[in-house]
Amino acid sequence: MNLNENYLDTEIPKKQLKPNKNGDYEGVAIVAPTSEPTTSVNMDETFFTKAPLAVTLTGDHSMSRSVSLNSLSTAYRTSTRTPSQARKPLARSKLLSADLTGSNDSIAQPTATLKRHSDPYFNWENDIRSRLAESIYSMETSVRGSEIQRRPYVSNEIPNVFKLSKLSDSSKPKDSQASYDKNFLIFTSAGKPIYCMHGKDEQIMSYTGLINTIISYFQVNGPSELKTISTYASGKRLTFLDKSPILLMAQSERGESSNELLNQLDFLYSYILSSLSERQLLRLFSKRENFDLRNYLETTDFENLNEICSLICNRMFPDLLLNSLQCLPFRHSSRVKLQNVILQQLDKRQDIPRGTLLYGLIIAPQNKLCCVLRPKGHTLHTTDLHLLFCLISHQFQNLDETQELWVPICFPKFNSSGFLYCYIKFLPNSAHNNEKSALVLISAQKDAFFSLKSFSDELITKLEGERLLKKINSAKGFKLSDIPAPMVHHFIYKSKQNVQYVMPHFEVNSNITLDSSQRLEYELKLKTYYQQLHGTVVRDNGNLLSRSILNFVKWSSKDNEDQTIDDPRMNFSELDEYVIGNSSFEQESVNMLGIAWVTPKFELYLIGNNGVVDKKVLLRSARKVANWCQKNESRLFISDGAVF
Amino acid sequence: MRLRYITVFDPSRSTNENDTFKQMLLFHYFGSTDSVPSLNEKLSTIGIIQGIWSLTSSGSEIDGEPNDLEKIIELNSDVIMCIKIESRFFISLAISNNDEDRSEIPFQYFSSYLWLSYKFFKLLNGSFARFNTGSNKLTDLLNEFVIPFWNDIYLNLATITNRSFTTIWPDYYKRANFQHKSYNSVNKNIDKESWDAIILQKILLDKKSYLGIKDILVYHLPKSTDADTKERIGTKTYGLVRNFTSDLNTLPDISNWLYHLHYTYGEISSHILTGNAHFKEELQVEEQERHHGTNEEQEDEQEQQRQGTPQNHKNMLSLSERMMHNVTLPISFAYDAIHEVSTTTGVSNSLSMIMDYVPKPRWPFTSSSSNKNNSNNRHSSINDNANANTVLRSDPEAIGGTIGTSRFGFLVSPLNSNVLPSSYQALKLCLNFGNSKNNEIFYNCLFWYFDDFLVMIVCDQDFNKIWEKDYLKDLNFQLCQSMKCLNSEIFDSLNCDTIESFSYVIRDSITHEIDSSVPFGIPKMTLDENISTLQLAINGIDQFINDSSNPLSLVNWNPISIMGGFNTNSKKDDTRGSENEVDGNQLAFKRRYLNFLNLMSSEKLWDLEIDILQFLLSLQNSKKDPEYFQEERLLKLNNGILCYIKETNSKLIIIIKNWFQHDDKAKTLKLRNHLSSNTSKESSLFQSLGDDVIDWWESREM
Repeated sequence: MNLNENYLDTEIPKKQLKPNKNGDYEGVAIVAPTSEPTTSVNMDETFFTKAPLAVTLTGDHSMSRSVSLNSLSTAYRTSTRTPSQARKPLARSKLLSADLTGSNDSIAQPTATLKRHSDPYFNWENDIRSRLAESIYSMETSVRGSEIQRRPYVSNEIPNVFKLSKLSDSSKPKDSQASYDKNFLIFTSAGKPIYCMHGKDEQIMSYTGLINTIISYFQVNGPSELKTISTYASGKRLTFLDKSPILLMAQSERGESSNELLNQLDFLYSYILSSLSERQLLRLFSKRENFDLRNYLETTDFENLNEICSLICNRMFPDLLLNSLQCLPFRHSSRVKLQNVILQQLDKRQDIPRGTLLYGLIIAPQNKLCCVLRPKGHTLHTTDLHLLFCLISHQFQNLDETQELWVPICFPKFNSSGFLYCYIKFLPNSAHNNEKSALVLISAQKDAFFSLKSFSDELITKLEGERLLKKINSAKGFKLSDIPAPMVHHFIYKSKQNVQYVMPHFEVNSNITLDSSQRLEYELKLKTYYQQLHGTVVRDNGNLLSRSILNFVKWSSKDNEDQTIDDPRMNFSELDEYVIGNSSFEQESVNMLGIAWVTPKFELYLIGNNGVVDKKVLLRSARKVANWCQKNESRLFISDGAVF
Repeated sequence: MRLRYITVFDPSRSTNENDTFKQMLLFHYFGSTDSVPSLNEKLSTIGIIQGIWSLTSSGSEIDGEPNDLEKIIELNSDVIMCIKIESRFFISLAISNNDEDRSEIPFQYFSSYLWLSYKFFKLLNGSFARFNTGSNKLTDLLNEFVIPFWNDIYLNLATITNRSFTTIWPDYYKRANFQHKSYNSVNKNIDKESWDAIILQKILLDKKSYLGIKDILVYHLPKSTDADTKERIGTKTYGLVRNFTSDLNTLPDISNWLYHLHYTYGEISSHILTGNAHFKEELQVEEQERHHGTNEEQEDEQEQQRQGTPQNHKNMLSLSERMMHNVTLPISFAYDAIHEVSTTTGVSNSLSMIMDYVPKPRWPFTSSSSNKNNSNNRHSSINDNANANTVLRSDPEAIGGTIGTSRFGFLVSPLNSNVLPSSYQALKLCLNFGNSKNNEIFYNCLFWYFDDFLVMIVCDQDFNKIWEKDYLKDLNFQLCQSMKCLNSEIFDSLNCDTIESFSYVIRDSITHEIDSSVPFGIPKMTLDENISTLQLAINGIDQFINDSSNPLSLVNWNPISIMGGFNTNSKKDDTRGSENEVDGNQLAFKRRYLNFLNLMSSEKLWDLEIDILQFLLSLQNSKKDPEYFQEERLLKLNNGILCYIKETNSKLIIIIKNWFQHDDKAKTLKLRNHLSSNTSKESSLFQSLGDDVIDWWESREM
């Protein structure tokens, strides 16, 4: 469907837009926002009211009607009409009939054309057929999308209300790094680039040089640290993190607060530390200030940085935003059993001295924590776990269950100057999909590989024997339909006490595969909704506005009365009414309602289906979601883990 | 929170490495700096700001036009704000927050005032580009305006926060909202002429002044507290009542300038309007930077339209003396005489003597009852004497006086004595009328007041009628008639004595208007409470008066005339009859226009403002596509705030409620209607604000 969208930008003749005495706009079909929570188009209006009216049309419109063929190609044909003609058959019919009564001259020719194609039934039939065919493709994925991909209208798709740069936006030149709405830059205090998400070396060199000068100016003349440079008109924000000898910079136009950006930078820095450790980093730079760290880092490090950046920028990754972990929903009794099995196993192995095994983790696919084994009084920082999860899902994903890994990883929040050693083994999964859970055993001792390996082997056998492995592999999380909360599109529930969050599976069109561009687009859209919702309840410094908050945010198509007549771009009831073929469909108006609900116990971010405008309805559902999550807390969250 | 420095520079003035100093137009450090930074340090600061500007501006140009005009550089404890104006000048302000101050002022207020300081400068002096690159004129004027402007803020930071959070929008101005029905329905009393019809027909369209007077701006500027009861007065009615042209593009700037003056100094007077009043610290710690301040230049400047002498203390004392001594001598003598006589011999005995010195006001329309009015005036003179609020004129022909309980008169007009600088006769302001060919030209502006109403009359420069006394008398008469009508129209309106349960702000980006009922803070400096560390200094005059030769040290020296009615100023004396008092109270009560926020303490109000600012920042960060979508938010915080924010492409609507109260009401309502309406009504975000808000909104929309 190659519709010309230019008509969206053309102006309605001013005389059509003059308000009448009642304040309504004469001649413009005002699209009232539907109060019904529905995703369907208004069929009555489009079919049965408009079609007969269209037949009585005269003048230029009937000309275009006369050339309509008995096929769907009418859409192409008629879409070539001049925009103002194509837009509003209903409106024009009123205007034209007014013209007819007013002047006799204008009747003469139109009646002639009418006579030539005087079989209204013939036209009407074609019309309906084409409309029926098209009606099931009414909903666009993105209202602003340049390429129109129509979907069946019976879907729970949510519209995109954000100004997001397309992942594959080819209109902007790739070479200039200012053309990205988000970028990360890591360089040394001497100005040598280490990593950058977008952009080429030669451009970055001058850039980092300039930034370096500025940062050191403030260090000398302050002494003060440069934190943020914001430009309010364009919403561009540069945030700096000075971790000398490494400097990090984030550039964003996505409306993230500087605190959010700082968290992201800190995560990137943590990754570098996890690979190098702070002590090594300082040693490298203490010898030579202009050391080029790029030579020291491995290729996999850059790949991982790429992955982390894309995770932060483009994927649904609320972990950083909420500073919490995602957890695998698991039956409570099974989880207890699993923990007991691990503890028993550990008790059996008295040959493993305390301190050899620090932590043990079972990580389900998609970075969901399934089980944790930890010494009493010690927990791992979420950032450290995020790093570990990222490594497992990106770097080590290609291992099969026969292979095992022994890797030194620095956990920067645990101890930034030393390494811990991780034994990583993927658990066998009989279902032959690519999703494997991993067992991670963390030790402080370099030479503990064999004792941990034997421990792991025994544990896995035991787990298999207790049929727990099967349960882990079959644990699938939950769907939105499991919760009796209508009108909810998606939600994130964070338990503050456990620093963990859960969210239901994505349930968009099932034919969208995990890595398809549509899926990415959807994730980015959802991510932005959540980021915006979260942004409404936190201050600039990242603290919550208040101990408990209930916030509704509603995004909707603009009110008709709010348009300025002078500005052609503002005529945007056009958006609600797409012209397909001869018919004019009313595009579903956008009415997205989201809730950010913060209490001392939990945070709930919830997005309703498009069209839900009643806040009571959504709040009722939000209550149900919160109740459900609280009721199932033992299933959804790991409260304590296996403590030894 | 402390101001550090302000600098103005124009990089295009420097052509090579040897003349980089030329780009610096102004660099001023606030307060006493231990060591005066060298030129080199200043230049490096300017350089780094430029560097940051170009670093962050790359790629942000739309159609070759740079669209970023404001950048905020946040350091650990400091914030540097920089704005770019007229495509080549930069103004930059640095603030620091070293001492973990709890009452930290968000930098948005400062950056807004940075814009305002430029806009006010432009209003008074014209644009920066007007001045030759070769001359130092611009530097001189910047020294005269920008430094005192920011010094007042430096000395009293409340200046920038006391007009509520709506000040963070420097391009918008507040409009007065009277009761809608009475305000909008002009034809309510058909038999009576409406106030705006009088101005329109008898002044603007009158053949004597047709096209000579470009516009008349009517402001309602009540004080924030009632002088008697110390109760707050709602700010709903504060602001522009209306003007009479639609193409005055500078309207937001003029309005904000007047509001700023009013709230900085607590009043509007001739001296304040002409820019001769500023704060100073009693202990002289001011260290002023003057690059090119010589006496000759100073005198040149005096001939220019901007007549204020620079705010300075130590080094400029001799100059000020010379300049202002002559200027203010007649007033000072008259005042001294009155004061001396009244203090030595008692008020009642010296009445006749006072009246000899004080010019006798004429009553243009109540000549038959002049005796009564005279006594009234006498009355007021005595009453006001304590506050030195005398209607004091050097010109016996001056027009002004009272009708009933209302005071009126010119603040800036050719009726002021010739010995005063010419800005006292007509203030020249650089205005931009959309229809005029020259974008920005200077107009003679006269100021006239009627109680709390301030009327600004914009005249063409070649409109010579204003120099004729008869014409001014006529103008005075017509304005009086009009304001009398307006006054009665307002007081006829009903329902303004109830305390509204919500507060609103509506910002319209097409008309640049703000409707707001969010209360303003109380200005720290009012006449009644003289803060010990600060005093309002009228340049030259106070120095003259505080001179050792003068036995009377007058701290509360009040200039020629100060706007405001009696009932807000002079009811401390019990000379007024009890009946009058009741009337006054009723009037005051009627005029309060309160909402629930007025009842809150100013600390709580400030916390609320910070919260709302945070909501607005988060809205600013919103990534919704503004071309197609609008956003609504309804926030409910556990401290009771219920805040509704809606942003459409032309309007920003903020409604604040207390949901504790709101819920109570809703519950009782629910209980009452429980039987009658079981069907739960659909509730959008706006509908859930309650019926009173919906009623108000609907009446407003009509």
